[in-house]
Amino acid sequence: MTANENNELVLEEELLGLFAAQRPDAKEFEDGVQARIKELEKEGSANGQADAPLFMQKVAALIPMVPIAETLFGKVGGKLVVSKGLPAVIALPAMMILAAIGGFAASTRSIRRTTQGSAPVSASRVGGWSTHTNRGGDQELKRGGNFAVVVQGASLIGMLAALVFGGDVALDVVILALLSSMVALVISMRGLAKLGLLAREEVAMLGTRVLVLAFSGCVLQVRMLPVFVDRSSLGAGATAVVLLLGILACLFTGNKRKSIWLAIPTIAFLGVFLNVFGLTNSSPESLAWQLEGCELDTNGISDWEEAGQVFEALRAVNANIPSLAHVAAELETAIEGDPVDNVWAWTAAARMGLIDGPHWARVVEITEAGETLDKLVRGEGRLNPTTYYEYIIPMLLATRELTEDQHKNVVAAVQAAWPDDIDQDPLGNAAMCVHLLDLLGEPELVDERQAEVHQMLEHLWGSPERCSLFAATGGFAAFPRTIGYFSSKDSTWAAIALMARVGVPESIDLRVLRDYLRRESTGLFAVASIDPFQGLHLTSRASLLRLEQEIGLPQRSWLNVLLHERLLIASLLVVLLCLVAIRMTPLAVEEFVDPTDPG
Amino acid sequence: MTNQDNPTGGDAVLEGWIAAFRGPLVGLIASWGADWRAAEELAQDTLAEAWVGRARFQGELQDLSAAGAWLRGIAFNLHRTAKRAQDRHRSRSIHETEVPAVEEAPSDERQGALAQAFEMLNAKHQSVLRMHYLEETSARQVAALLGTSPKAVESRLYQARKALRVELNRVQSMTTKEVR
Repeated sequence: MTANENNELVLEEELLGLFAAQRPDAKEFEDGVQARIKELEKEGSANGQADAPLFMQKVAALIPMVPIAETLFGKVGGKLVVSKGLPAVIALPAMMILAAIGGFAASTRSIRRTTQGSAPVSASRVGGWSTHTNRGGDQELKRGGNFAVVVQGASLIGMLAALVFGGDVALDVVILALLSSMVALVISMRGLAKLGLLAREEVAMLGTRVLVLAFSGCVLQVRMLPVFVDRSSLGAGATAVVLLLGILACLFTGNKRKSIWLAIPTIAFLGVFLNVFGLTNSSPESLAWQLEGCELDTNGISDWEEAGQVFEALRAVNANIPSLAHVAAELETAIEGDPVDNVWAWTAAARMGLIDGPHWARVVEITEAGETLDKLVRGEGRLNPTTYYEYIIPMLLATRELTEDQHKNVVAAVQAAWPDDIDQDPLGNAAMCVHLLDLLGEPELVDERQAEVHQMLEHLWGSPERCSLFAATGGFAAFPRTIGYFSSKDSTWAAIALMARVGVPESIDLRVLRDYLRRESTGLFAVASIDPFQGLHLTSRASLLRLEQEIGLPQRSWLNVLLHERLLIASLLVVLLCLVAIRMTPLAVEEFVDPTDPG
Repeated sequence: MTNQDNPTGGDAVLEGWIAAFRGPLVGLIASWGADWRAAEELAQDTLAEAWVGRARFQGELQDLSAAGAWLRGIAFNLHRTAKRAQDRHRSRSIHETEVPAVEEAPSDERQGALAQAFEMLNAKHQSVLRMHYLEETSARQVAALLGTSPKAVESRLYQARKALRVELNRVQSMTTKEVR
């Protein structure tokens, strides 16, 4: 240490002295750890839960398994539960699937009993349901209506659950609400039977209402709110398709032809103009179309950045790159026609490879970067770590022949720009450095940083456990936060570029990340060509393309497929139940004549 | 194979964890507001919890940077639980819940001034100094616990010592004025 530093800093010896009194005794400390390990192992073997994951233990703590087992199997069941520790761990998603199947079976049985025991209805009485309900004469119809309120309130319950337990549990709350629509259907049918109104047409209307409620109360919330964690492959959009098709089928089987002609344009409107099916337009063809048609301005900022990102994504997945003549023409104007110093344009153009040597030389003049480049090759300058200054290195390589020493100096400058503090939006900087080191032919320097990059990614990922308070789960944040976690589309783009290069850390669930990107990519309109705001989602759409086609999602076991698709399974069962109920109910008869009546 | 079954995950690994993280872990927990004795106990609990639950750890047990991040998470949860329990039991003396002072009995005037200056530093600087100088642990191990790079830790240490020097000069000049 120099004398000057000694004057500036407090001596290490003094600092060591400052903490001397608090320094733990190594032997005592280790003995303490060993003693605690013994205690914990003893406790673990006593209650048999030591190996259960924390989340499972929480679920097990919430589920009153002994009373359930006693109800189902008597006291023997309860004892079995306690002695074998059988249900110490039960996964909530699996329980939801079982509940859906059980609910479907029980509801079907109940509907069969109701329809078998009811008398045929005269056609003249069909349509009297609402009149009876309004009179409040039938308690069961009322009760059915109350369950419908539960379905409608699913969004609120789901959001509250997300607030308390995280997005994983919120989805199950919504499924639970969806299942309550089965109960609503069964109870309402009983009410109709008691009023002597149980006709197929009435049940078809009932089923339609139940599905409309399920759609508006559950699917729209899951798709539009960022708090839910949905690992499904098809997404909540598939559930929307199932429910809307179910509505059409109910109307069709209930012989409501007029209503079908009203429902079809309504569904088309929802699909196209509210994009309820969640189309992301992130296919290579859609993005290529977007890139080809983008209008760039020499003074623009984000449009250049996004054009560069779309190009990068298309190249990464080996998709056809569209003609970039219009981008080249705009660059020509910015360089030769009416020179503009637009760092975003230079950086995007460098990524797209649209500027040749002579034009880069002109850019050096426009940006007055000659001295900066001189300093970099001499090993005196530093690289601006802000991502839009990335073009400096491609510009340098295009305009200078570097000696070995100069090359080393430039590599050192790039390495010096590596983010050294997690608090300074590091993912973008790290992605830039990785790209530049590869460009400089130093891939092994990137490989050396793999563990560091993984740690950074894990630190900034918005896992379901970390996100609450309506935070967008699954994306990457620019800054670490414990409360009020915010995912950023640019940091997520950088994170995907990094994972594509150095691999995915084990703790990052790519399905949750995909769910985030789907939500961010979904435009207001289903068709990109008519959506004036499609440009807002370009970064996320490009990220989604790279995630799905460049990085790829891991294989799932059949059990995980079932668990991840539980919302879809539940909605399929609800639709099926409505259709079964309609088919089981007899059609109203024109004139009911009692065959046993001799008169 | 889980980490529980891993034959290489024997006592040597646990000893490695203790040697690497004893000092910085105690320092880190003390930075969250625990007194030094409680911090030491919580650090022991953290290592024990981590060891007993090592089957849940997804990384390599020998990988100190991964283990560091995991230990920090456990330590934070344990500290939070302990803090909540402490808040519920208001019968405990106020001194037990206060953020600890660095020194207990300054050995001399210079040490006293240093301790006073230390208290004036921001939390980030205090934290990194506690973690590093409690046992003179390497920047790499401190970085593993903080979830950052060794270079960032070195830079933070430098800044913290610099800031401490400024505060120390201020404290000493004030003391001199008072004496006059």
